[in-house]
Amino acid sequence: MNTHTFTIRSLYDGFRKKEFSAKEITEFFFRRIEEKDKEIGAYLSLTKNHAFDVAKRADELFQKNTNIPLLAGIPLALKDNMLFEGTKTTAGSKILEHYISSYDATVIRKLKDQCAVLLGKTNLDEFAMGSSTENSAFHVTRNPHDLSRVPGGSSGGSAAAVAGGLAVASLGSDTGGSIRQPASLCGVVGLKPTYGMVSRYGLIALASSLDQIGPFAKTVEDVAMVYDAIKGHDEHDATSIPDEQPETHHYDSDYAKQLVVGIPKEYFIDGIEKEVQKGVNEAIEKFKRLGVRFKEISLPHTKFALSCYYIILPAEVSANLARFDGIRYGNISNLKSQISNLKELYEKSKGMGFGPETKRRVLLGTFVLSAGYYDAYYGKAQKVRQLINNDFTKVFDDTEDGVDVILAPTSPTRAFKIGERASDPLSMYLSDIFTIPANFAGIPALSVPVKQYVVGSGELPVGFQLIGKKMHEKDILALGMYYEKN
Amino acid sequence: MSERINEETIEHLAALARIELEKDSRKNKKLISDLSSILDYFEDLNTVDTEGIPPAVGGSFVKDAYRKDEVKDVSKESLLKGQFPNSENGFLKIPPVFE
Repeated sequence: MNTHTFTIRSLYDGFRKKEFSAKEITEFFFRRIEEKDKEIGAYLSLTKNHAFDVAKRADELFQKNTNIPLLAGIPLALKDNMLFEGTKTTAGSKILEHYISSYDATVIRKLKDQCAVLLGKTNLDEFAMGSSTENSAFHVTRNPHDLSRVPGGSSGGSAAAVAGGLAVASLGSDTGGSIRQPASLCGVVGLKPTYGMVSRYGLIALASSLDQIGPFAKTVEDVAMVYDAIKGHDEHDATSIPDEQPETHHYDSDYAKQLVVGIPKEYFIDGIEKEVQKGVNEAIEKFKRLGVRFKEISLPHTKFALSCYYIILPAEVSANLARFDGIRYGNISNLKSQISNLKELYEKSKGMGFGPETKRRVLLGTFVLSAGYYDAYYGKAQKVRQLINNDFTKVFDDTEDGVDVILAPTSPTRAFKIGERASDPLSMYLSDIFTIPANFAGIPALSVPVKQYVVGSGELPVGFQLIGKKMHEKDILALGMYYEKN
Repeated sequence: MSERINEETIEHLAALARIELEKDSRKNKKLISDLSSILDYFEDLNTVDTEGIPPAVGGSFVKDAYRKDEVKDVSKESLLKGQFPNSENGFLKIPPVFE
């Protein structure tokens, strides 16, 4: 058996035909994690007891052979910023090193309902802040395609787990590109859904106006299957969209072919690595051969998205992270002798618990929201954000002039070396330049590898992005499936 | 280089954010210079004409979200209380709020 070739579809068929059991597949993945994860470092913790319990239940379902959910018995990994009752959830931070989740995130409850086998929690940049997973308080994660390089971030563990054959699919969260950029760097597929399509209840918040949970997998079809399992309205998330959306994982080439794709000139700028440019051009040529129509479009405010993001995100971070005060969980017992009042407890807990990037962003957020600077930074950024949103509204116009989907590079470069950008925050921030605008507008975006990249071939993956209209996941997933199946 | 952030402002921000800064002054100098170059980068926003543009609000597509105000068990009490770093008779114990 080779874990690299497993897809959700192939496992499901194998379970049904009794070629193997869910228990055998679960054992197989844990063995592989034991062998390979020492060098990759995708996981922070494993949830073996849960996994084997569920595998047993999945095997019983396949024995009975009635109403079997698509994800039954499928080995999945979860980014360690989603609460999974009774297990450790660290968000990659020292401040939550010993935190045990007291309830299930809605996405985890939905996966449990499907009898999916949850293997463990994956590494991330602290509180999902970063583009390389180097900001984890625990260890670095390496790119399975080249162990001297980063897997991207912040959901680097989830991307590396899928690329390295340590899970069939996984969940990540995307605030400014944290699913799509690591998917691109690791040669896997990653989806950031429409804001509000997947409940964020039980996701440790980074920037609440931008965060969205989404899946990683090796194929677009698998990503669509996981997305179908986790989407839907949830009364526990006030931003959750109540409208029903049909299933997206059914392949429909006729539907894909009639979509009009826009190429925004602002995404093809100097400074893109030439291999990225070449790969994305190859993808465009392939779509053209397959009969897809293209149009040149303009999103004039794209270049301002990065500045806006690094004002708005830290502002929201400084508010969201205020709750980590060391009182209800944390290391207060070690500090007892040094603490005489509440303020000292807060200051010491945060000072010791937060890493350098987290502190930098909390301080930056505090600055842009402070009296005298609010209008110049935060107020201005929110106005420019509106202009960025207006750009999308204009090109997604329903008249003949509009397009259905936008195609662009996901990341300006391929995977970079570990340590290369770690000391210069600005150079790291530039990794997100093409992914941020979709988060601002709340619209769905999918990163697809230009071709199938085989681990060990020495080739570094390149991905492209398909950005869709609000709640039109079906469009980008249909086009992605059309691309990978032809 | 931006002059908006210096040692004094960084201490003020850290106090507002309730974060104890490192004692190592070299690390704090690097923090000041990193924040200053990030703020310099933001200068490009001043070239955008935003006259008459309303600021974006939130990201939500939902206008109002209501649910019934009912008591529900969402968490296991033992798991919640088990996290307390310091407790007495099942209650959370913290340093005095008023002194």
